[in-house]
Amino acid sequence: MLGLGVAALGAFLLWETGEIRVAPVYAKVGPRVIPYLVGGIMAALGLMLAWQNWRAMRAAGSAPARGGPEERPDWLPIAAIAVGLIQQILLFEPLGFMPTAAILFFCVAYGFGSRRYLRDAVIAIALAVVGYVGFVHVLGLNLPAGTVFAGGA
Amino acid sequence: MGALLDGFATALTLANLGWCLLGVTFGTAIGILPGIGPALTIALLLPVTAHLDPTGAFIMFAGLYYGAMYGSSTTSILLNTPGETGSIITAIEGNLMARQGRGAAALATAAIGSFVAGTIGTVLLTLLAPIVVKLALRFGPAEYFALMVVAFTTVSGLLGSSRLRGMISLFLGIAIGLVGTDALTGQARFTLGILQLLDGIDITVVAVGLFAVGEALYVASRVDLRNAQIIPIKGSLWMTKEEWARSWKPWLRGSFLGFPFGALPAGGTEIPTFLSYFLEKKMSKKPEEFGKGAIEGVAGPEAANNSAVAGVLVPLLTLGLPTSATAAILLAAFQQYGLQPGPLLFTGSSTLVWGLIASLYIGNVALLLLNLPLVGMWVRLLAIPTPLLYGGILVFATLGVYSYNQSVFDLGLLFIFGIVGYLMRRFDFPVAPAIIGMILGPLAEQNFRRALSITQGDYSVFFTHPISATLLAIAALVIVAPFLLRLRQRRPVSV
Repeated sequence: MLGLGVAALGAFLLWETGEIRVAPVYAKVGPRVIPYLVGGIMAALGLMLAWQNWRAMRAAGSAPARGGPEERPDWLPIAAIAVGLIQQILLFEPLGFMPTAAILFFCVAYGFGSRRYLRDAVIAIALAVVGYVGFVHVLGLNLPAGTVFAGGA
Repeated sequence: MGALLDGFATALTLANLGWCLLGVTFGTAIGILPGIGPALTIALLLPVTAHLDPTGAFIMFAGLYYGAMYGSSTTSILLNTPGETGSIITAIEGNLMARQGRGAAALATAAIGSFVAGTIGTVLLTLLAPIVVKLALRFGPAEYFALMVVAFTTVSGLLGSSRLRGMISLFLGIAIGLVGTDALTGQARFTLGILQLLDGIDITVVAVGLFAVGEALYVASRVDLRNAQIIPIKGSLWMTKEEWARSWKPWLRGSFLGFPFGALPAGGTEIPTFLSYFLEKKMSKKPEEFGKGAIEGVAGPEAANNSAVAGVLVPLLTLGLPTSATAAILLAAFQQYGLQPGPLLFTGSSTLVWGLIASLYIGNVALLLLNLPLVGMWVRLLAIPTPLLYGGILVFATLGVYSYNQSVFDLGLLFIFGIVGYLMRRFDFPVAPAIIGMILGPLAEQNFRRALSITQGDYSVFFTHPISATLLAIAALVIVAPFLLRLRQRRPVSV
C-alpha cells in the first residue's frame, strides 16, 4: 500500500514534468531533465518498497511487517490537534492571531491528554497575548489583529 | 592562524559575545526540552533574524547548534528520550546510570566529554577548513554535482533504519525542492497552477511541518510516548578519581573517532557514537558493566557525538555541503543573507566565517559552565507538563511560519507537511534526508545543468574529469555494495 502510494507519487511527478513548458533553446538540458529523473527514481523506489512489503507480508502470513497492533495510533489526539490547526488556517485572518492561537494551544493540550480545562485556557490566553505583544511590538513582525474586530471598531 | 585571531577579535565584541551567550543558553534549553531540536529552532528563528546583522545571527546559530547537543544529553540521561539520533547510546547507558543513582556522574562525564570533544573538533575544523578550501577552489560544476551525489547516497543510506526508506525520503525532499520557478529558465514546475507555489516552498514551512507538527501528532497518538518519566539527579556532580580515570581516554578516543564521520560527507552522528560504544566496551577492563550503566559508555559516545557535530561544519562551510538536517537549515540561513557557503565564503566573508569559528571556542567554554554548575536549573525545564509544552511549540511554530511570508497559504502547507511528517514517523521513514534533499537538490540541479551547458550537453564531462569520476564511483559503490553483500549472503541460504 505504502509503496504503491510512493510509486503513484513518482508517476504523478513524471506526468507533471510533461506539463512543464520548455523553450526550444533549452531543449537539450532544460528544466525537464532532473524532474524526469526524480519522478522516475521515485516511482522505481515505490515499486521496490511495495515489493519488499509484499514479500514481508507473505513471509509473516497476513500481518504487515510494520505498524502492528502495538503501534496502532489513538485517533482522538490526532483529531484534536488537526482541529486546532485547521481552525487556525480558516479563522486566522478574520479572527486574528490571538484567539486562534489560544484555541490551537487548548486543542493541542487536550490532544496530549490534559483535562485541566481552566488552567489550560488561562495559559492559552496568556501565551497568545504575550506572543502577540512580543512579536508585534518587540520584534516588529506583522500579525493579523483580526478583520472582524477591526471592522467593528 | 592570523585569520583565527581576527575571528576572536570579531567574536569578542560585546554584541557578538551577547549573541553567542544567547545562542548557547537557548540551545541548551531546546536541547533539554523534548520535541524540539536545533534544526527546528533555527528554522523557526529564520524569519525573526532576517533583519539582523549576519555575523551576529550566525554566531547565535552556532551557539544554538552546539548548545542543543549538550542539552540533549541531559534529557537522554534523565528521561531516556534521545532528542537526536546521536544521543541514542547516551540515552541507554546514561539512563541506566541515572537509575542506579549515578545520574550526576553521568551528566558530568557527558558535559565534560562534550567540552573536550567540542574543543578538539573545533581545533580540527580550524586546521582543516583552509586546506579543504584550497582543494575546493579547483572544483567546477561537474565536481560539485558529483560531490552532492555522494552526499545524497551517504545521507540516505546512513540515516535511519533502511536504505530504501532513506532514499524515498531524500527524493521526496528533492521533489519538494523542485516546486516553483526554475532558476535557469524561469519556467514554472510542479506548481499545479497555484500562484503561491511559484516562489517555491520555504524550508521553514517544510522543516517545521515535518519536525514540529509531525512530531506532535506522532507523540500525541502514542500513549507510551505521552507519559515519560523523569529520574531525579542523585549523587555528586564532582566525579570521583576513578570516574575521571575511566572517562578521559574515552573522551579523547570518541573525539577523534567522531570528527572524521562528520567531516567527510559520510553524514550523521549516529554511526560514530555506536562505533565508540563498541570500542569502549572492547577496551574496558570491566566490559560486564556495559548495558548496566558503564561510565565509559556515556563518555565515549557523547564525545564522538559532539566532535562529529563540529566535523559537519567542515563540508558545510568549505563546500556548501550539508550532511545533517541542522546543517541543511544553516545552509538555508546563509542563502537568506545572500551568502553561499563554499571556498568563496572564506575570501568574501572571512570576518563572518572566522568570527563564527572563534565563537565556537567561546561557546564551548560557556556551555561547560552552563551545563555543570547550573544543570539543576535546566532540569526544572523537564517538569513542564507535556501537553503545555507541545501546545506552546505548535503556537510558536504556526506563528513563525506565518510571519515568514505573512501568508495563510503557508499555514495550509504547514498542516499538509505535518501530516506527511506524521506518516513518515509512523512508518519509520527518516526525516533528515528529506530536509537535506530539499536544500541540496536545487543546488545539485544547478551544477548539473551548468556543467552540461559548458560542454553543450555532453554527459561524458562527469566521467572524464578525474575528481568527478572518482566521486561518482564512490557514490555508486555506496548504493550497490550493500545489495551485493546481501546477495552473497543470501545465495547459500536459497540453495
